[in-house]
Amino acid sequence: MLLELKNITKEFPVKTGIAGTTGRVVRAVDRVSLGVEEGESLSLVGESGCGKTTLARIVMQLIRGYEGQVIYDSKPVDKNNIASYRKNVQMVFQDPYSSLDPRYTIRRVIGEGMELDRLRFKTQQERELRIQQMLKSVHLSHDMLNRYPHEFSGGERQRIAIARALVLNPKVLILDEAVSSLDVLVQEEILKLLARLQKQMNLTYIFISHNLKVVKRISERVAVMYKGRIVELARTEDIFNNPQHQYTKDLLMAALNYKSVVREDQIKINDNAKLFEYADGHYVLG
Amino acid sequence: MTNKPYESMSEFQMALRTFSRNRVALFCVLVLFLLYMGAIFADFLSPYRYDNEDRRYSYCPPTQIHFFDDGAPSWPFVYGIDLEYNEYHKRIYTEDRSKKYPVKLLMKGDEYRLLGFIPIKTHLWGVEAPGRVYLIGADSRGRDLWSRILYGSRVSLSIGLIGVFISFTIGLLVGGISGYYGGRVDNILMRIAEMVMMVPGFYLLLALRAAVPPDFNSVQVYFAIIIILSFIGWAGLARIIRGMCLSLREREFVMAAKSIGLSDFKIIVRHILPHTLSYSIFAVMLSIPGYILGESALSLIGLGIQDPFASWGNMLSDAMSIVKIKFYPWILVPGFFIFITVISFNVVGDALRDALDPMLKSEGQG
Amino acid sequence: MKNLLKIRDLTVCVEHQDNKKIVNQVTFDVKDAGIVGLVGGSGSGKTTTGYAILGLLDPALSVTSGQIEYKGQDLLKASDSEIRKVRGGEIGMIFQEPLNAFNPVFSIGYQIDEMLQYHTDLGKNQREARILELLDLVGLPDPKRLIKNYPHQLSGGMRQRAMIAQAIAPNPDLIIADEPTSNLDVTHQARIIELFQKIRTELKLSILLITHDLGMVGHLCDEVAVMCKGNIVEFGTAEEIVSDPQHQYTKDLMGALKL
Repeated sequence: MLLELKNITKEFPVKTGIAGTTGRVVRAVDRVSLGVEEGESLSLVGESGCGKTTLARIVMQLIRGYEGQVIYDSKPVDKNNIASYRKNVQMVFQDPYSSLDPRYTIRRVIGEGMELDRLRFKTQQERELRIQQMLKSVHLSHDMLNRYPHEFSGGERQRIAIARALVLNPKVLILDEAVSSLDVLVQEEILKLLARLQKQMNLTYIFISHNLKVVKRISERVAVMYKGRIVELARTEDIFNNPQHQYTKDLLMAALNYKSVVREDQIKINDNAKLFEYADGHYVLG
Repeated sequence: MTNKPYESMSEFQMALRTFSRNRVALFCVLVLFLLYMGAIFADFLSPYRYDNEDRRYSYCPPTQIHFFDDGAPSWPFVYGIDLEYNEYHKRIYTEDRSKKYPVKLLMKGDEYRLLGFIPIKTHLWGVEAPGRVYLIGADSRGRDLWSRILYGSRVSLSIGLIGVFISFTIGLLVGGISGYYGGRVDNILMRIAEMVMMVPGFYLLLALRAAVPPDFNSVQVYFAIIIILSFIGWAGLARIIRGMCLSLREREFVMAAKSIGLSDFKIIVRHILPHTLSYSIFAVMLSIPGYILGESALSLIGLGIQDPFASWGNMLSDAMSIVKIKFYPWILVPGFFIFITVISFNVVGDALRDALDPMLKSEGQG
Repeated sequence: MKNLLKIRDLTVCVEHQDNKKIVNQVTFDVKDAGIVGLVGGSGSGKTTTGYAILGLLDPALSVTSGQIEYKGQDLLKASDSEIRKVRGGEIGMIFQEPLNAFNPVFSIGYQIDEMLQYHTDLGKNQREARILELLDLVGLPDPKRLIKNYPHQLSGGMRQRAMIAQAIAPNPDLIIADEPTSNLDVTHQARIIELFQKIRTELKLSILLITHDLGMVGHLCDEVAVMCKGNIVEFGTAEEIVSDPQHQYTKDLMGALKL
């Protein structure tokens, strides 16, 4: 396994009023264990508040102070190897309008991605060449380099964000709702681009989304999150054709048939519940 | 693909464009430019040095420059000045028509040092001795007010710039660090800022000035004043920058920068602080007048720049008597210069804010 | 079936630039108690069309031609006071982000009450009763406590339902919904869609649904108008559009993210 998450738990203190804390905690991520193989596409699905964004940030080491381990290439990530970790794991953010610094030209935006590895592209020419290469791979022309983000559409900006993430040739790309704020047709384009890049560069994707249609398109495996826990993990066709956990069933019903399930109380998760293997590669929380 | 025919403009260029549509603001920029040019070339532009005194001409009213000689147009000239005392022992100055002194251009006058070390005597204009030309009149010691205003502008205008630069730098760093890190660091830094702001400005100014050793010469006093003014000035800016940084650090491009591996310091300096620039520039413009007035206030009460050096503030201390103002109203002119300087900075600052504001608004949209 | 709203040849341009058409010759009807979907990507002009009905266009845009006939009156030619009566009272509007539409410093109850005060003659007690009734209708739990809550205290889904409650309070005949579920989770989205179906059936009001989600539109609407770059490129019943799209753009939309 290329990237593995072992028992990740992240708690946040519950604050009340102006300055007090209640002493209670909220578990945004609760004992999550996951793994991705090289070249795989895994999707993390859930609704807002389920913890998927927090988990993504933990994987990117943007949030520290969690329990459990993030293991890359069989080595746990810590302060010593974080620089090399970052070269291999990059992120594309949700909002193309705010993930690019509006004051930077496109050249500078993409070039900044090279910050981690100054030694690799030593001369100005090498850097410029690389930037142009990246732009080409996301199908943008290089006369855009001197322009500013606000001159581009959402889809184009997202391509720029992808170019920035790929500039140091990472192995893993985490896409946090990367197409959610785009038009349906533009989403289609970006997904096609991502599929092609995956083949070309042998990338591994961790796709975070709440849009099940997108998820079905792009992923091989799906992990469903609810209240910080993984409630179901299986291959994509198994999740869609044979969902086992109640929450997964509700989610699919709402997303595909627009039918909501009225519940008096929310789905209860037993604190001691564990993922057990229901079928080959199909895990359910119970 | 977006292939726009026009040239791409950065935010800054767009703001400049909006700004240049504001006629009043452009006029004030011109005024400020002229004032600062006057300060830089004070030696050259003034007929006399700031300490060139002639007690025979104490409080001499402005000498009239004549362009007509007995009805016929002529090269500008002045008449000699005659002094008489009336029955109340008050001085009356009249023109002595028997002596004519033409205005000379590029004439040799008092010596000064160009760029600080080249001794030169050339002044742009003046009148040959024993003639005196007082463009705006003379002060109690017969020193030319116009010359002293030009020399004085050096002090007043530079203190504004240097002082603001120092407090701007401190304010940005403190605000940036405070806002970015939050938590305890933020708490401590902001409480310090508040303590500084808590003390009434002017009293703090006086107290700090009193702490400066009395045997400092004027130049040292000058720098001490700048440091003192910067010391009380940074807190307000720091607080606001801190607020902006608090919200800016949540923006996605900051997270993107973190995930690329930029160090915290680089993130603050390269990504966060530039976004506060639009506010900072305008805040800076609006606080420069405060420094000018602060220095003037100190010099007015005798704690700032001392005689014989000129500053607009200490020139005004001469005018603290209603009798003098009534009889010699020209001694108020330094106040008028303070006035137009302050107004110009305010107008330019306001216009800058208007020019940069739409940038702030459209930044979030797409 | 009568036509409640008739839009004919509506054209909206950027002010003083008649060649920049945001909406171009748009023509369609909304029937009594019918749900019409206005679908398109960003820049298609669908939002502008919706806003034009109530005269809420951006000041930089202006209507250069067309009629919007509502109950026999051309809304584009109505006076300010006439439009104000229509706004809210007869044609309500629901926005994408309830946080922006609600005033953060007033409670939900207060704001719905304001709506009733302005558009109806009900007395204080009657209004209170009506507010509770409305909150119950939209499926919000514990209405008595909710009316004292502020917008930020509710979750996104609940806020949206509160906004719907506010919009239907004065018994309008038509609701214009601008991307009402784009910011919501899938389960909340489903609930809102069901709520729309409920209020159409029970209150017999029409809905103009503006969205980019062709799937939702196919599920909820009777008729669909597909817009692209300011023009309606296809119009038909929901079944027709979904099962047998004719225009290339509609085909592209249906093809994208097909399951």
